[in-house]
Amino acid sequence: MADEEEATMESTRAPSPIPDDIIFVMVLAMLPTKSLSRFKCVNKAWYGWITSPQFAKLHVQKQNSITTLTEDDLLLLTQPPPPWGNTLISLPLKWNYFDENHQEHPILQLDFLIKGLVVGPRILGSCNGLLLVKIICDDRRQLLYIWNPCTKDYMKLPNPPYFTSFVTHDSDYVQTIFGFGYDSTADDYKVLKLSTGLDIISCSYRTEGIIYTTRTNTWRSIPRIPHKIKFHEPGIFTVDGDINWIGTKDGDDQGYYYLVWFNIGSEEWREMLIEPSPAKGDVYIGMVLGGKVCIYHRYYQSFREHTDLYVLKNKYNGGSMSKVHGFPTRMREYCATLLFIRHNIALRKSTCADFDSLAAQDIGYNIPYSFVHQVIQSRQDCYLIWNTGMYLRKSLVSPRLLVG
Amino acid sequence: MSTKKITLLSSDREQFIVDEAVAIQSQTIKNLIEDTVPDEDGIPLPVVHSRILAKVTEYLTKHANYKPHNDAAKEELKNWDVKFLGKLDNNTLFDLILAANYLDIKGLLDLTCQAVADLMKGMSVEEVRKLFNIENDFTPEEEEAVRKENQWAFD
Repeated sequence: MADEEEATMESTRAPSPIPDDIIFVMVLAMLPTKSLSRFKCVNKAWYGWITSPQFAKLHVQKQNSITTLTEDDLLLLTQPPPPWGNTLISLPLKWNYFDENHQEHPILQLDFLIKGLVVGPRILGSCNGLLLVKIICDDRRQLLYIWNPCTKDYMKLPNPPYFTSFVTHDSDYVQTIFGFGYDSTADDYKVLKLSTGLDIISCSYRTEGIIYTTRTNTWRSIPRIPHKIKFHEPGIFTVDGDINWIGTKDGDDQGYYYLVWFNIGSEEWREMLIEPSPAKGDVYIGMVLGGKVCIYHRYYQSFREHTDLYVLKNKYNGGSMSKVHGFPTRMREYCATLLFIRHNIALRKSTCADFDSLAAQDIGYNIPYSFVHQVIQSRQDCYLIWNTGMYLRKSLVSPRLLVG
Repeated sequence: MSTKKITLLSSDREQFIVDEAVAIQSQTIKNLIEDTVPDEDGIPLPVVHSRILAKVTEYLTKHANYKPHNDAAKEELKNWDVKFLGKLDNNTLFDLILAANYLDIKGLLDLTCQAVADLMKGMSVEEVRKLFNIENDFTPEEEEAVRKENQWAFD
């Protein structure tokens, strides 16, 4: 009897107060950005903590350790220049596709930066909830921004200097790719710009690189990289502190490709010959599968396009490629582009005769082929025309506060 | 190999006899075993009530005896954790957090904090204030301004 009374008392009493440091450090860092944005209203202490750079950093760390899709996971698609407008389509990846009451996909306006001047914004990179965005003004000037689409906060990067050793800077003759990554040891965001252009003196193509860091808020040059860029969109991926891309070397034009990577922390590059070298078709760097770099090989056979996917293993120890998957392609379908993979989800853009489609495939767990496919097709009017896609996990990192 | 038994003593002086391997998953208990001469009745844990210590030992026993070697085993342990949490009311959950923090059991602290985060995720601001017994120190105008700034999060 006494026990029962005690039990009743136990369940009706007020809960023991949890110390603030446990709530702030352990609990809040596990919440999605939407809940956190709402809870800024709880009181002044909560507002101060949730909006602080320290918390944003902690939150990113915690969220990056989650390997399944979360409600903060988005696919962002950029649309081509007007008349379609300078917009980004944001597509939640964790989605109940069978729920008929789901909300509309939010469209993010990109004209927050420069009204009316924007000619096709490009998303060049995505890291810790931040996007590296390139905007071309109508006087052909290119502006770079780091933008957090969740907090709507942004900063403009200083203009990168021109590579004076190139004969011309016309984009028809210079191939440029950008890498965007985070150096966690120095708490520094870095942007790598690589251009392959025609050298004034040698009259042959060569690659120059410069790097921007938020700590210094300036660009500086990096050691010469002997590979020419093999250009494709987005063409460059940041994994485990390395920016990775595909390169070729002079005299190696018989289809030898190299995986080249640049360590964001040490700012040193390394290379690996991709073997066996594909005899036909094209090689692309695609994405990240389970935290590893993937390369896909696209080729035609029997009037069909095939895409084979390889995962790079033991990158730092010789390295080897192992084939994990072949993507089926429908008849008359071409230009299948694998967008990215995270958490074993592969997204594939393909063009079939007269329309674009996007298909998702879960390589690890065999989720049905069509789960995003369906959604995209149901909104043909505005979704099907897009330039680039980028994966983003929302964060509260404030670009404005990155530069000291 | 013989298993050494450890006796733990709750705040209401109830004894819990567990294997040493089970007990030392708690960094605090491990330190207490190493650094102190044991009490006749057991190792005193003056801030943990028997009701909570029963839950803690249930968790520790499961996790000590279950070292997952493959994905299926990991999945099973995860399911066990979910079931374990499902049986708790909010007060017990909060007390478990305090116990896991005091006893320094990282796995249990992570698990219970995640459970609180899941609980909070869909809550309104008012519900969160009530849950943690937090006083609102914003003026109505200030609160309205913050709310406006983050309007999307309230839809």
